[in-house]
Amino acid sequence: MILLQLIINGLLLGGVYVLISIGLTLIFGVVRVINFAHGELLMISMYISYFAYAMLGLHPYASILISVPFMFIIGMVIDRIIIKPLREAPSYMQIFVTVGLSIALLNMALFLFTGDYQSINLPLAKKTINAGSLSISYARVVIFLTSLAVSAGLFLFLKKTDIGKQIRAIAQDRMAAQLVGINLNKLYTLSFGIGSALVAIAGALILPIYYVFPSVGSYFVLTAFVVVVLGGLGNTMGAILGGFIIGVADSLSGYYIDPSLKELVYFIIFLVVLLIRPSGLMGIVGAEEMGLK
Amino acid sequence: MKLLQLKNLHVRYGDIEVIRELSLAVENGKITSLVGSNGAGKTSLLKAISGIIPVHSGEILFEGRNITHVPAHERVEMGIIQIPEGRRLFPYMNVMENLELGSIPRRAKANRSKNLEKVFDIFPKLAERKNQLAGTLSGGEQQMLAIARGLMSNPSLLMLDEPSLGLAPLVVKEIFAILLEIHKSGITILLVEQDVKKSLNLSDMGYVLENGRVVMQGSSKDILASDSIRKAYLGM
Amino acid sequence: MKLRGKNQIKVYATIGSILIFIGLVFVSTNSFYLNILFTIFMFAGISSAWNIIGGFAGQLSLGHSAFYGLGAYTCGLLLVKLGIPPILGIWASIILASLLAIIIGYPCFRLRGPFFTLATIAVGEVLLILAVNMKTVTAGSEGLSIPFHPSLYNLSFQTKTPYALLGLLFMLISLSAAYIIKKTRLGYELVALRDEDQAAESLGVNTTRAKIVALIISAAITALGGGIYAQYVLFLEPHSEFSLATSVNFAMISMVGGLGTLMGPVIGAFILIPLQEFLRAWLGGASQGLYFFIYGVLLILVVMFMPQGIIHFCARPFNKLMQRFSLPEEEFPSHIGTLYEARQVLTKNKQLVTNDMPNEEILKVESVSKRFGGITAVNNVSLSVRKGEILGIIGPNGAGKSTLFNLLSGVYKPDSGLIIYNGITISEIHKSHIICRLGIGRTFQIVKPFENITVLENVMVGSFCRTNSVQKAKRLALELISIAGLMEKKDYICHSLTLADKKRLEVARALATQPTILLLDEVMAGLTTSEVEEAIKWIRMIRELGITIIVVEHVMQAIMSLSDRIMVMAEGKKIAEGPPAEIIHNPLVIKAYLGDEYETPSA
Repeated sequence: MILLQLIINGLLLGGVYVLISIGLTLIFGVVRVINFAHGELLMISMYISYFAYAMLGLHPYASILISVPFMFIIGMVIDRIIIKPLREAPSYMQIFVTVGLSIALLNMALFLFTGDYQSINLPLAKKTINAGSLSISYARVVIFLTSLAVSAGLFLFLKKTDIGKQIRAIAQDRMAAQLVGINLNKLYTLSFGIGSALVAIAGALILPIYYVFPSVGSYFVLTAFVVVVLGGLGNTMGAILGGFIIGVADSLSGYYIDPSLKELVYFIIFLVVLLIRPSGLMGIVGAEEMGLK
Repeated sequence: MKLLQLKNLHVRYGDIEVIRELSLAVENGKITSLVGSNGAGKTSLLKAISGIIPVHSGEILFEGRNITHVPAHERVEMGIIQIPEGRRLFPYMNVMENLELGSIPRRAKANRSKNLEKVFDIFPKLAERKNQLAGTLSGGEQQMLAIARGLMSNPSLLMLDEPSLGLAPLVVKEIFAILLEIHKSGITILLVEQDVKKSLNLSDMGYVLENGRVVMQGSSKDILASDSIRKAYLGM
Repeated sequence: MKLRGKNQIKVYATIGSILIFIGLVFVSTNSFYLNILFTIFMFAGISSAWNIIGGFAGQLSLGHSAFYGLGAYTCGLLLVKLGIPPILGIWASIILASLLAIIIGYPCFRLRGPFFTLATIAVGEVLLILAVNMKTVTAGSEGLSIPFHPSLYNLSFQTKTPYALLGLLFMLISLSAAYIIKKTRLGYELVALRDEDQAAESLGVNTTRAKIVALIISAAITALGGGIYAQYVLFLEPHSEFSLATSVNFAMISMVGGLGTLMGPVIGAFILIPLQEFLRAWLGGASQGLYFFIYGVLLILVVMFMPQGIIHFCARPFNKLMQRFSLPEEEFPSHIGTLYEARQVLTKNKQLVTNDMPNEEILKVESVSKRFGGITAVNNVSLSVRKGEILGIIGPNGAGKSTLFNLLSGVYKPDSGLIIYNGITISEIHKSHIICRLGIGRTFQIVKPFENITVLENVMVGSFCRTNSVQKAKRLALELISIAGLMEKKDYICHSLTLADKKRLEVARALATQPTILLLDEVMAGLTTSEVEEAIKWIRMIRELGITIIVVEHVMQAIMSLSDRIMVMAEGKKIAEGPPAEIIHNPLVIKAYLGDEYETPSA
């Protein structure tokens, strides 16, 4: 029974990771940039939802209406101003610039909000659903279901809409996309915006159960990288699969090994994946194009 | 009327000058061939016309308008469509999706369903495989899909880069027959081909490229008959 | 040994700078300033060590805090738990860091670009977690205090001045290591593999080994720095030793100063460290985060507007100044410009062409095939290459010629068939650098000069295949450059050369590896008619040196006049072989190029 509880907890936790990672992998798949500032985007979203609650009394789930459009715009601005000039630059420069952005955003938050751990007090957060001897956190179920809904929504968007197809086209063959009349720059910027908006949803939903503080992003971003590499950089299905796997791994290793060593487990998974199969479980390409003709 | 005009074009690929002082013209409504051995610069020329690589100096005029610095996606909007070497389909999308991606330009979007009908008419094999992933089609089918996708964009100028590459002779025959049909419907075609005879047989005008320059031009019949083409290819 | 001109200035500048640094130490009586100086020196030294792998080799590591922290903890723990003084402890740090470098180097260097960086971040994080959790050993997050018993053996002192001197010493050690690497073979190899690692491999550079050696040196020095710094701070805490921020800092210092340059890390440290300290002093603890916010913005700005670092801003006026003192660095031996030395060296171990049995087979390709996915690029091709001949390979687009070259030079391994060179089956060898050492050299279809170094340095990378001595490598390189007609441009950075120059450079570079067989891949592509004529002359001259040449070409006149024999490929298969005159009239060949039913106009 404990195992079942652990697996359920793991899947629910996986929902969190999926929501956070799905934006990261979309950005990589299209814009081909590893966004080291992704965690800070999450942190900003959480603070938006936090202040919406603290100052306006707005329920975090409702704050999505504010944070999603806001982060969408922020994402596009970041791409336009910082990433776009470096599109053709060697990858080390792109890494440095997003690392710099990450440092700047984190410390701006530190300066504005101080390092205090904030949390909101929602009765929702303590509610659990009890099924036999299993106890399931209500808030986590919401996250889990939302992650499935968001994944489905993203999937439909990519599959059915014109813009979605254009985004997939860019990820599959850049030059062919140009020849078909796709405006690459416009779509890169849009993708960055979408990726950031997805993270905003995550931020709002996890606020009831996590503390918000300036470096909360760094904690999650490393896990997001593990998920994304595990699933295959650029592959949204992979991010979903990876997220749930890591969630379960987190839950199981927390119990069977040691709670403080959980991170060790998934960094080791990370290194193993990078070394044995850098393209991940479902990935097609990594940073090197391999003849997608 | 000259649909496309290239004037004294210089194109660089990195530091290499791949096109030097090249001038040519594509007449409206005709089929023009570009032939020349490898490294002659044919693919680079098409890339420059499509706007994928920038032009170092010189001008590109389309329908009289200077498009030398117009971005690639806008040229597609104008009707300059390239079917690139190696097909370059979207391998993880099916036939339908590939075709739909052909109708991004505004006027093409408006005519999407009409164009789909037309295209399935010309290529019935594609209609049968609507839901098949492009990456799993045979070489010939892929080439047809690539051409079909190009047609979906309502091209004024259709440029093809080595459509016969890697295809069986029978399939090549089929494709060239279709190109003739397309031409008859009023679309101007610029054809880059390895198979010199087939290419010049199909076209009205020809240009022979060597080392980034035009070394021979004229009516295709004349070029075919001359000795120089063999010289250009086999250095005799 | 008499020094002249530029070298003389460099020596004086170096001595002068050291004196200035020492002067700074003694002039600063204020503890605050001495602290800054010490920190500057230490970080300059550590960043310089990082620069060996991050700048010279272009492998961006954001996990160097792993070595730093390992060094700090090893040294500190040995003192605290076993009473071993740091003067000995630092050796343990160096050894452990070197081992760690070997363990993570081999697997991580198989990754490229951002994947490599991600892997290094993961390594740093793993060590952080271990340090936090191995509480019995490291005291975890609570931190470990190191007792203060000032003495030379403990690398701790009563006043700050000796610390600053120690820091200066450390920085000089680190810079010396970087300097030595830069001036010797390893330095050339690292720069080569950073710019074009496939080309480097084809010139005999064992890129994996070079990267690992560089990482070991980098790790060792970084660990040394960690150990010394720990004895200053006297407190070990996992988050300050192993953090990502620390790793980023090492990288950023080099980046701001000038990635890949010798003095870049020093300049970067002199700018960033005081900035950090002064900002902290001004803004105080109340404005937490403001310093790092500015730091982050600065990093963004530097990457966007000054990616080459400050040193390149200043490089131009400095170079102009240096040109005023333009005396030659050394005298050239008088025979340079003739074929004398080249002939000596290149034909050393081979019998002279005239005495050779003209039909001796040197390379045998037996039924070789290579598939990529569903396409058979090379289909059951056999051929025999005779010593001293020029063999041409022609064929339409997609015929498989480049794939064949890649098979011969060890880039690919054949799916079936054998390639035998001088009795050795080389088809099993999958490493181009080994094949190069065995005697097969090549050029590339798309020229791959090492963009950021000079013409001379490019060719020297090739010479290093056969010698470890910089002097010998330089001499052979100069000889070949002179033959190639590039002597006036020998100190030019490659990206300012014309295409014809680059092609000649690439051939000269390949010749420097003293090949027995030279593979020329479309070396005439893009050349004008007169350039092609020159190239033909040059290739003939190379054959006179006793080198067997295999040429792939599309420029027909060239290959027809050059080749003794020609092999024609189409669609992966060999369709004809023979002397040029026969090939031209071969109907299969004509069909392959010009199409079906092409009728040769009657003569």
